[in-house]
Amino acid sequence: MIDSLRRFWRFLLSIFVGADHLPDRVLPEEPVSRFILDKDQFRQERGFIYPAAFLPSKKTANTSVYRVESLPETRIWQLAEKFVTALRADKKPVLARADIKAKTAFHQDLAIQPDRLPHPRHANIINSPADRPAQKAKALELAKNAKLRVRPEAASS
Amino acid sequence: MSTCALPRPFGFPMTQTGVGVSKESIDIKALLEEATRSFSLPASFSWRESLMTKVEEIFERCVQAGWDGYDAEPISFDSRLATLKAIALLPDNIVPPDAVPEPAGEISLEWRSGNDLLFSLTVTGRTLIYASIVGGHSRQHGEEQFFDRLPKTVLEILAQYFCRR
Repeated sequence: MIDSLRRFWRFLLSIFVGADHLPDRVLPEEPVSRFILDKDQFRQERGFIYPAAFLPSKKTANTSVYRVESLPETRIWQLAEKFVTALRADKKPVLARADIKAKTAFHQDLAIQPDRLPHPRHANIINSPADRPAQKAKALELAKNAKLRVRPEAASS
Repeated sequence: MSTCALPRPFGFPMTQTGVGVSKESIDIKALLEEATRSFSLPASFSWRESLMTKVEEIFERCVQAGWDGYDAEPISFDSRLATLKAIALLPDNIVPPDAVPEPAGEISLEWRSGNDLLFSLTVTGRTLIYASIVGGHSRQHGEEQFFDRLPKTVLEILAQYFCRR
């Protein structure tokens, strides 16, 4: 019975979010995106992302990301729209995203843990040190290796 | 220190006043005096001033928790003050940094030149946190006490890698 329910759940995921093929464990070559909602955390004209975009939340000690393996651009921005902006009371738009390979985080002794809420592709960068200079150093490495993707609507505005 | 002291524009007689001087020429004189004053200021004044303005703008904009779309804390008054103080103490002849809000409710000063020179500095109260990547494998990070001057470590990184030529 449980197996049937699992299969049905996977079927639903494959139909609606295309998440059926994601492995339970995040693989080193897997791309993950950090959605950026603050205009000062990146510099569009220079293609820079600032480390602040990767610093963990003080509340959760994690950095929220999305697993974007095999998703086309439009689907990635749809995720941002439906599962980040739409869930906020103020409907603040996602302006850009910072893309890294999972192994960039792994090289910093960070881990990426699938969270699956509010979406099956949601995950968290975890194992951030409590020591703040060390946190900053790791965020600097992630920012250095990240690729900035500015949301087309934001880039043209 | 680089000072850009320009000669008085067009040899305009700055002291001309009195009867027979039109309102327009008084206005022009005031504008020229203002321009002369600006030109006489150190070059660092303009970036320092605009950076301070940016800090104020961040402080006002990031007043609500969650300003980053996640769980960011509001930018604290202490962080604003400490950052302004640090900006005032930065050497004149450096590449101007950018001010960036951080999720812990602080403001960082960021230097970046290409993909090999990165330096991030956050001041809050009497604590200064920094991390740098300078070149292929050279990394530094740490924490220092911050009172009335910037720590030597920070000044050395700025002088060595972010000096304006």
